[in-house]
Amino acid sequence: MHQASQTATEVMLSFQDVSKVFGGLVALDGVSGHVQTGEILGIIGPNGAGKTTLFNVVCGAFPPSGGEISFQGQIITALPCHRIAHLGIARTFQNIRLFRRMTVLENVLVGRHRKASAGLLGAVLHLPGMRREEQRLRDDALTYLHMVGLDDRAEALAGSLTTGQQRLLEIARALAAEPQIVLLDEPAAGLNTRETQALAEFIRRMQEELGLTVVLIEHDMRLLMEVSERVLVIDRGRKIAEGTPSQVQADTKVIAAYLGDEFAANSAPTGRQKL
Amino acid sequence: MKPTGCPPRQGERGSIVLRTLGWLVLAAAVVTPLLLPESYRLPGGVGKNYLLTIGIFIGIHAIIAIGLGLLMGYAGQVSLGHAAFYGLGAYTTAILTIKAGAPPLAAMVAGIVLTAVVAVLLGAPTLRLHGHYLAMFTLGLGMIVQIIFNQARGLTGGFGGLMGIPPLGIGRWQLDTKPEFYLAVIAAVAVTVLLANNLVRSRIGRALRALHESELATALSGVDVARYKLLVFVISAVLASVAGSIYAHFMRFISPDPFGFAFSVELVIMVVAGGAASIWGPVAGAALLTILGEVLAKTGEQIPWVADLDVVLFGAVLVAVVVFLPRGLVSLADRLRRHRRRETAPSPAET
Repeated sequence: MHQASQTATEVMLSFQDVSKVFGGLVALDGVSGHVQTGEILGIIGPNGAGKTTLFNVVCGAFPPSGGEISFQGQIITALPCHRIAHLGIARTFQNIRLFRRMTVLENVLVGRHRKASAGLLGAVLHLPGMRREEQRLRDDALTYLHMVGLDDRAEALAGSLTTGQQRLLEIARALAAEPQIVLLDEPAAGLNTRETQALAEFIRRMQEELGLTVVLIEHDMRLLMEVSERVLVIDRGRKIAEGTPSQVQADTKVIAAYLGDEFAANSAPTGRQKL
Repeated sequence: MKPTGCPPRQGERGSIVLRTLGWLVLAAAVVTPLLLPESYRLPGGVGKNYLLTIGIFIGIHAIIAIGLGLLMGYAGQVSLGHAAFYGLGAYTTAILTIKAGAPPLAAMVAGIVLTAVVAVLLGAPTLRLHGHYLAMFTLGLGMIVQIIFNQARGLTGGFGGLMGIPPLGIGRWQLDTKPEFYLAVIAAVAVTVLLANNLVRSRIGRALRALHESELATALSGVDVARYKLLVFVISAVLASVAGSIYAHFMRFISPDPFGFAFSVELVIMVVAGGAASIWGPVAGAALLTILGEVLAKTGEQIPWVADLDVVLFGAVLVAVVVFLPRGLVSLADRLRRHRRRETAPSPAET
């Protein structure tokens, strides 16, 4: 809502000198950066640059080999995933990770797990309080499904949805946790042009209407440059550029990373479709 | 379809007949042995008491299998030592009632506490790891417990076991006849089914099913995956312990033999054969294997070598189910329902 713009200069998430080594492979090599409260930050880079690894390290899927990550002033480097989720970080996955054999509604209900409190006793005895909570959760979940336009598919199995619908469901599941920041990992992969356009609008609505901070990894440059306020470029585990979409697109190091050094030498900034 | 709280599933109305039929068959199967006259004899000389005994064993096995089904079907973990938890319950009951004169219910609770402690000690370190470490650790536990039952003669009576366990009861009210005990076991199974069903259809059950599919996505929804796995493991161990206490009061005598590795494997087969990801599946599996085992034992009285075929036959059941009914016996009911739906509704909107 409105506080998003008022606190826009505050840093929500920052990573300092983060590295990650898998055996002999250096996936992240001392990346530093930050996400401001309320902004949409785009992350680009060639395949294998370390973008998804950065997400994985931030959300606690595995610890970084070095460096420090902090969220709203709190160091979260060594925290397990579920604790990080409780702090207000949610994400989607490049390789969709839905609960395929559960219904669309149930997927969102799992996403809303942290907003419920029924314990073992309530669950086993189906106590009235638990039943009320369950009904409330279902209403909430349907609201999130409505947001992404999947409420009419609530009882379908998640595995039966199209790729586009599955990506939307992942977003709904992430939103259902009422996070403060959402990390979207290639949400447009496998979407057609019309779906991508709808997604772009939806990402902006997440920022404007839900007051969310969004970090977006995307290979669809048009989408990314259109919605991002700031772009961070990673190549071979290092940050090579950072700035507004137009600054980044004019950066010779970025052009070199994508097209090779010979293009960078004689290229002028030519606009969005070049990338 | 309006997106209200809980929209009815397609074909639900068509399956009401089938469901009612299922309940009637179940009720008939449960009640019939009670109503038979004492003099009645089935082929093979099987009388009322024998049927009630089989029914009691099915019930005891079903309670353990429901717990193991929660662990296998909902948390995706296997225990190869559930017979040990069963044994812990049985021996705690036997030792406390015989040697300390404890009332049966107090002994049962002591068994539950002991089993839960053992399960936490075993599960807490192993369930944090990815992979099937729990299976290895429970396998080891089964062996250790078996050795203790056999060797700690002062406490467990060794190979000879323990005799003189009192009947189950509270104060003066005691279950000392077979029909009474049978009813009590049926009630215990019914309560277990009800509570397990509630658990599965709660926020906890949902989280368990989810973590079975993607641990990372579940954890990122705020679910403490290791804690939830441990919770199911402890619940399943406790159910086995309760079944063990019931067993001890029914037999009034226990020895180490029924709590060995062979029974642990049998329990896993019950769960897989019946269908792990359901509550009724393990119950069906328990009924199937218990009856098969009894038929073999009975036939073995005439033809001795048949009695040794149980391992072969159980193995064959397991293979047959895995090949033809990967989701277990309960999936037969689903197939029937789907078949019926196709008959009643000519053009169902398949999702």
